[in-house]
Amino acid sequence: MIRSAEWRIEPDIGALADVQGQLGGHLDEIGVAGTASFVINLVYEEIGRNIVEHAAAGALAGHVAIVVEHDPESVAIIIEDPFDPFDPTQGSEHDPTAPLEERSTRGMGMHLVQDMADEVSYERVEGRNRLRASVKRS
Amino acid sequence: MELTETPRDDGITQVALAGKLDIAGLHDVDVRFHGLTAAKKQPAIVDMSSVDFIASLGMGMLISCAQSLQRSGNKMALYATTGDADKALRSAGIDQAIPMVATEAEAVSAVSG
Repeated sequence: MIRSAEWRIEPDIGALADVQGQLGGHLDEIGVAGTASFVINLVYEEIGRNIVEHAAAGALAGHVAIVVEHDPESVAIIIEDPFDPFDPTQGSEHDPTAPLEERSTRGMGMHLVQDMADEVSYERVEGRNRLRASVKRS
Repeated sequence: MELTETPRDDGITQVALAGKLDIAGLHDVDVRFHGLTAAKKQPAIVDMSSVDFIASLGMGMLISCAQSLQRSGNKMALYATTGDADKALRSAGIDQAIPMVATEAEAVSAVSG
């Protein structure tokens, strides 16, 4: 796969939103559209927001790295952060059958990532969480 | 993200969302959406035909407003969801909590009575 884009940001919702716009433009440039674009954007938003929320709750500082890789068949996004170990692939507490009055968004983002991406993997590397999600090009 | 309201004379609020309901998009419409739906305390139908991105943050806005309406004895329905947005909403089970139907007429029926 070719590494085609990389960003480093502070764990801040404004920075996250800024890069989300740039990510969309980059996916257009490399011809990623349709479902593949949707899924990459969804993974970015769900994992990115989760990192920002957990970073705000902790005392650690550091940057978040976002990388896009692609080849003719698929596209992947890799998101790294230096915060407490968190493996999004380890199930989700989201209940998609709960009635309206019991609904919350707790765990919903991780559920969506696992369900919509073709492959999701996690590893802890040199004190950083590293999540990789890939999807076949539409 | 754009939010528009279509006036009705049957006591039902009709709004349409269009564009990307992502971090920036939600910031554009969240307060107004609550104002046009939950705050009015009457049944609401939401045209989703032009929503081309939604994640859990946007779904949370829909859930929050639907819950608020439920507490006031009213219902919300979504209609004409399409493509990947439809797939994501159903993956999260939003259709199990808020009626998701194909047409405006079905949405009106879902929130009436």
